[in-house]
This record gives sequence, structure tokens and C-alpha cells, in this order.
Amino acid sequence: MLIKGNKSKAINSSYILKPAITSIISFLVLVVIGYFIIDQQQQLLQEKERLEMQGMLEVTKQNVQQIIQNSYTVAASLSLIIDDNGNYQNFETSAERLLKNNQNISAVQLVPNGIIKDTYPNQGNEASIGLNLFETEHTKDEAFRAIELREMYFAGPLELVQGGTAIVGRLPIYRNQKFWGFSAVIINLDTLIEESGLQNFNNKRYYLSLSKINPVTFKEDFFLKRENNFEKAFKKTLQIPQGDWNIQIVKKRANNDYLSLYPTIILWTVFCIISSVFLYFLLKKPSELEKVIKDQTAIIAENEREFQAIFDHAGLGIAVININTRKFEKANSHLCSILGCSLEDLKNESIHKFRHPEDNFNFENLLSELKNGDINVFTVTRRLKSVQGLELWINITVSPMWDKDEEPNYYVAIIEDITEKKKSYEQLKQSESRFKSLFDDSPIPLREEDLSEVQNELKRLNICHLPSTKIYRYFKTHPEELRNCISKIKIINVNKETLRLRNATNKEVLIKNFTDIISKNNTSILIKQLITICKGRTFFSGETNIVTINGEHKDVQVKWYVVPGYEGNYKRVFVSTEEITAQKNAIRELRNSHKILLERNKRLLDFSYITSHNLRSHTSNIQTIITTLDFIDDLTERKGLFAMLKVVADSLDETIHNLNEVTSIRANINIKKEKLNLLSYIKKCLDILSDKIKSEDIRIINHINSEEFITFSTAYLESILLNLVSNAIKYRDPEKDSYVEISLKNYKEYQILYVKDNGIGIDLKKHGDKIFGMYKTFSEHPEAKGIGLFIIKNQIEAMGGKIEVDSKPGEGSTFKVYIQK
Amino acid sequence: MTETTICIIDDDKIYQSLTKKMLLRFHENSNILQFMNGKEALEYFRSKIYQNEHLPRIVLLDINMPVMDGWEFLGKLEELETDFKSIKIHIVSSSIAIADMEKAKGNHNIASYITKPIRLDIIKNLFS
Repeated sequence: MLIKGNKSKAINSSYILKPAITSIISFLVLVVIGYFIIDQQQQLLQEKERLEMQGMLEVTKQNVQQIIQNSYTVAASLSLIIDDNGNYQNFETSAERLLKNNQNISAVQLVPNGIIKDTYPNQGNEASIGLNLFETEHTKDEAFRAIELREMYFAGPLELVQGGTAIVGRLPIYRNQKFWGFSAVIINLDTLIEESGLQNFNNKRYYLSLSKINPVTFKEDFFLKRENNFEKAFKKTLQIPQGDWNIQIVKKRANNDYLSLYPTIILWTVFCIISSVFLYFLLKKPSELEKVIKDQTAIIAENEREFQAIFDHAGLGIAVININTRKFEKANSHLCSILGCSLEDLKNESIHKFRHPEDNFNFENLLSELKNGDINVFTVTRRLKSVQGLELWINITVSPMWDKDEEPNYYVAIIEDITEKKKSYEQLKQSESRFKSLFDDSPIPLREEDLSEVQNELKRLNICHLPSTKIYRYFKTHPEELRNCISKIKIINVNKETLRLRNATNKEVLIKNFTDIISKNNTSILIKQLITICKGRTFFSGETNIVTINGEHKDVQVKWYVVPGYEGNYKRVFVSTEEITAQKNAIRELRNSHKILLERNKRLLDFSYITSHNLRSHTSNIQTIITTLDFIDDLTERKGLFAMLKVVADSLDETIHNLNEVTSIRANINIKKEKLNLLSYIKKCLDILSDKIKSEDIRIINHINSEEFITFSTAYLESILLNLVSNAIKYRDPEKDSYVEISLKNYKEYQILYVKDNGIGIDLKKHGDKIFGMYKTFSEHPEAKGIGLFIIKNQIEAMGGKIEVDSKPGEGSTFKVYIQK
Repeated sequence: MTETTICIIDDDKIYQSLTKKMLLRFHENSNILQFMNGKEALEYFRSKIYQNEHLPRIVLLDINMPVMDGWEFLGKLEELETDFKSIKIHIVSSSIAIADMEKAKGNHNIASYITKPIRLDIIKNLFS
């Protein structure tokens, strides 16, 4: 085997699914990673914020502490004006000085025994003077708290009586171990917030909240901007014990933080999608390629199988042969069957083994040309010898297996066994040459014609659907179309006999002039042939008269048939034109003889009839006389009867004489014919009748000159002339100036002698058929015997001629004697 | 015996006289008329017809005669619208041609076709 085929793998659909799965997984991973990173980032951010808030709170705390410290200092300083007795002076001065140094404190108070006594600045704070803190509901708790703590305690923020929101830091003052009252500082809440730096937090990012644990209820009271979701909010708390305050910083939009991430998430997701799709396509490409490769592999495998099948089962022998050693490298089984051996036998065998001793084809030259690259492929016919020694004819096609720049190694030989073909070809050639010689040397004139153009022409005329008789009439009335159709006949070939028939020297001249030649033919047969084509019939037979190339007429029988396989198109038609001139002539002669025989027979019949009639009239008279004699006794009467008998006997004798004369004429068919000078015989005749001519004053008009000759019997010519001229005289018209006119006309095959008169004439309608009969008389003329014309008619017929008459009563008669040349 | 007019038309004079003899032998009271051809006879018949007189009872007619033959005579007679019932026409001919006999048979005005020689018994029968 030349090529081993690989098993092709089934195409797996997972190659298509894999990229999809891969890209989905990668998408998910990317999304998770992305979200994780975002989350981390978020947490870092929050941490940073927390720290930031923490830092800020620390600063705030310090600031607040500072304010408290200052407040304490101010309150303590103020308390210094109080003496041990609990009296004080110069409040306003001290307060003024203290406030001057502590701008953030809006006012100072001295509250001995819990009753607001002095406030600086007094302006705006008058309303609070005299207020007993321990008795006022909203101040007593915090007042007690300060005493309880024995240090400064900030109350509020609270709505001041004097207006505004503020915190009040109260420092319990003791004198002489005894509670004196409070030294209080009033700090405007706004000022506190401003001074503490809390203000900084109150911006877009943070909310500030201030709450206080109610000293009584321990509930958290909010004083500043309380947000709805405050508890849940991200917040930092700063506790200030001096006032039980909680300061809270709350991050704004704590819940919406993730919202701010949405664009990032979306962006990331989009990125993931894009990259996954990209990945999908990226992965798909190789898988597609892989699929293509798979398909191609399958196709290749299929092709290989096909090739293998072709190689193994082709009706051709295929072999790979080493160009140098000529050994078979590979071969298929068909080659083995051609060579009559097995595959094993061919192994290591050279093609030389199968060389036919008589095959001297120069194969080597072609191989070296192939080696040189001068030719790419060649096919030759060679003879081989099979293992069994049989002669094999093969067509071998050789093509190289090496590439252009390679060293020649193997060639492929495709070997077709054409032994049978060769045989058939030889047989075909033989039969063809046999046919050719049969055609060429046939004793029958044959020709091969192509009538397809004629058929086309007929189609063009569109008359073929008509009945034959109408087609026939069409061509009879359109000779130019007939000629046109005939001109479309194509002569393919003519044989020798056809040339002979047509008196043509060579084929070319005949074929060239064929239309002209054929056009001279009888048109009827040409039309009949066209009708045959029209009606799609494939055979024709008919007789016609043809004209040869040099104008000779010949009778032929035309027969043609369409060569099988060309029935539809008339492309090949075999025509035989057998000459039947001889047969035709024979037939014509036969017909002629038949006619002559018929005529003769008729004459014989006439004769026998005449004979019987004329003889019987006499014999019957004799019988009657004898019968009558039987019963007549009277002597005189009997004598009369005997006299009658004598007359009858005489008549009988005359009749027999006449019949004898006619019989002799008839019997003497081969009477001697001579070339006679007509004029001399006419003169002789006129001489005999001269007395009568003179006495009756007949004018003789003679057109015969001395040069006229006829071939006839002397005696008959004399008899005929005498009869006709004397008849003319006999039946003259006494009322007219009578004449007899004699003339002769020459024709190709005969002459006509005319004897014309202006006599009484004969009624031919009445007597036409009897005028030349025996004993036929038509007039009451005493000399009419009815034998003369009968005799000359027989004489003329014996000479091969005939006699006719033209006549009209009262006008005259013309007798025409036809004389054979 | 009543007089019977018998007409013989024939160009043969001998036949005429012999026939006359035979006719007279069987029928003495016969008026026998003789004509040489059809034309002569026709003239007689025509005059008889014009004069509205009796026509001959028996006619013996030959076929072959000059000038006017038997057939022509018969034709002419038919043209004259002759009452053929009163006359019996017998063709008497020496012709034994079948054609003539057939022609005679085909003509219903012809009583019989008699071939010459005319025999005594036939003459006898003519009067029966």
C-alpha cells in the first residue's frame, strides 16, 4: 500500500464550549477581585476618616478643656473679690478686666446663695438678676450637681432668660467652710463651638451633634442638629465630664458611601465583561483553528481513503517506479491483474520484465526528458508482455514524483489496458475500410448527403403541417422555393459509380454542380422527397429521369434512408441512384409491344368479325335458298332461286378474294420496304386517273417535290395513292370547284402524307369508327363497295403506320397517312 | 286472315326476296314492304306516323347497312315517339358478335334477335 490512512477523529463540540466557560470563570474571578479591592479601599478610607475625626476630636477636646480651664480661671479669679465674710466689691471692674482677657466668655455672674446678684456685662442680662437657681426648675438640678461635685460644672446649653443659647459654668464658692454661692461664667454656645474648633466639623462631610446626659433622667438630650439616622451613623464621641456633654461628629452620607462606589463597580463590571468577551474571542480563535484543522484532517483522511480506493480499485493500473532501477516501489492490484501476476510478484521486480520483444518504442528518451524537466508528463502507447506471455497494449502516462529542485527518484505510471480497445479499433478500421471500399466500389451509385439544412429550410417555410397534396402544390407554384430547398442539399461523399452515372470526371466538379444538375430533374420527385423529409419519414423510394453533367438523360431509381441515429436531423442520409434506363427502355418496349399486340389483336378480332359477318351473310343466303327450294315446286321460281344461288356464289367468291387480299397483306408483315421517291409515284397515280380528272375537271394541287422520299412498299404505295385520290374524285361535291391537294410533312420519327379534298365529306360522328371497316359504305354512291379504305388501312398498318381522317359533311375530307421513317 | 304489313329492311336483295318468299308461304295475306337501308325505311315510317296511319306489325331489321344502319334507324324511330306496342321489331343479322346481341337485348323495343339464315319455324313463330 502506498499511503497509510489515519483515522479521523470525531469533531468535539467542547472545543466550542470551552472558551465560553473560561471567559465566564475569568469574568467572575475578576468581579470578585475587583469588589474585594474596592471593599478594602473603602475600609482604608473609613479608617483614615476615623483617624482624622479622632485627631480633630482630640484638638477639639483640648480646646474645650482650654475653655473650661479659662472659665474656671475666670470664675476662680472672680471669686477672689469675695472676702471671707462673703462680701465683695469692685465686681464690675474685676469682671470687666476678666472678660477683657477672656474674649470667649460672654458674661460673668456672681450668684450668692444661688440668687443671681450681679452679671457683667449687665446690659442684656438684666432679666436674670434676682433669679434663684435652686428654686428655678430648669436650673436647680445642675446647680445642685455643681455643689455635689464641689467643682465647676457647666449647665446647659440652655435658653437664657436674657436671650440666646449658652452654657453656664458654675463654680461653687466656699467661705469659711461654708457654701457662699456660685461664681459663674456664661459662654455663648456659638462661641464655645467656634472656639473649640467644632465648627470645623460642621461642613459637608460631617455633622456635629451635641448631647447631654440628663443628670436627673440620665437620658441623652440633643441640642444640636439631630439627623434621622443618627444612631446608625458613623460617629465619634467626645465626653466632657464638666458638663456631662457628649460631642459627636457624624460622617455625612455614611449610608451612601457605597453609592459613590457604583460608578467604579459598574466600570469594573464593564471592564470585566469586555475583557471576558475579549478573552472568549481570544480563546475561541485557536479552538476554531483547531476545528478547522480537525475538519481538514477529516477531509484529508477522506481524500486519502478515496485516493486509496482509487488507487486500489481504479480501472487503471497505477505504479510508483524508481526511475533509476525501474523497480516497482508500489503498485495497485489492477496493475497486477493487467500484468497477470500478484502484488508479491511485483516486489523488487523491474518493469523491464514485462517488456514486449517487438516494442521498440524509445521510452528512455522520454524518461530522460522527464528527468531533465523538459517535460512534465507524457502519455504513450506501448506493448507489454504479461507474465503469461500474452501481448498487452497499454496507454502509459508517466509523471514525476520529485519536486523541481529535488533529485529525480520515483515516477508515477498510470497504465490503462487498451488491448481490447486496440482490437476493436483494428476491427473498426477494418470494417471502415471495408465499408469505404464497399461504398467506393459499389456497383450501385451511392452518395452520402446532409439534408439537415433542407429540413431547416422546410421548417422555415412552415408548410410541413399541411397535407402532402398541399405541400406538393405549394412547390409547384413556388419553383424558387423548391430551388432554394434543393440548394441546401449538402453532398458529403459520392462513390465512383455515381461519377460514372453522372458522367462526371471528379467528385469536386460533381458536388459543386450538384444543385444545377439536380434542378434539371423531374420536379415531382424532388417535391416528393421534400415531403418525405417534411413528414419525418426516414425512407424514400422513387423513379425519375436524371440529366448527367453533359446533358444525357438516364432513368434512375432513387432510394434513400436516414442513417440510424440521424433520424431527427437528417444529417446523414444514404442515397442510391440505381440506373434503370435499360429496364425502363425494356418496359417501354414491352408496353409498346403490348400496345401493338393489343392493336393487332383488335384487328384480328375485327377481321374475324368481318370475315364471319361477310361470309355468313352469303352462306346464310345459300342455306335459305336451299330451304326455300324444298317447298317451292314451281319450276320458274326454282330457276329464279338457282340464278340467285349463282349470284350468291359469285359474291361469296368476291368476298373470299377480298379477304384473301387482306389476309395476304396481314400475313406479309415483313414485306420489303424501299426508299421511294414520292413524287414519281404520285405522278404515276395521277396518270392512271388522268381521264377521270379531266372529265370531272378536278384541280390537282401537289406540294410534293422531287426530293421527298419515303420508305414503303411499292405496291402498297401505289394502292394507297390510287385509293385516296380516286376516293377524293369519287366523292366530290358537284356543286363546287373540286380539288385534291397532296402534301407531306416531315417529323423526327415519321412523315405524314396529306390527301385533302373539298368533297362531300363524311359525318365522322356517325361513322368515325367504321370508315375504315370492310364493306362499310356510307353513301348511296353506286360504286361504293366499302373495301378500298379497309385494304389501304391494312396496308398502311403493315408498313408500321396508321391512317386518320378529318372530315366534315359538305366541307371535305383530309386523309392523313403516317409513315414510319 | 287479316292483312299483315311486314317490313323488311336489309341491303341484301337476295335475302329480301328469299325472306319475302318464306313469309308469303306462311302468311299469304301479307303486305311486305322492302327497304335497302334505314334511311329509306325511316322515311316510310315518318310519313305513316305523320298521317297517323297503322305502322307495319312486324319489322325485320338488319344491322349493317350503308347510309343508315339498324341502330341509327331505331334511334330515329324512338325520336319520332313511335308507339312501339303495335309493332314488333326483330333484328335479323348475319352477325354473331355478342356485342350486337347484348345491345339488342338491352333495347326493350326489340322483340328478338334472329341470326341469319332465318329458319322456317322462326318465320312461323313471327305470326303467333
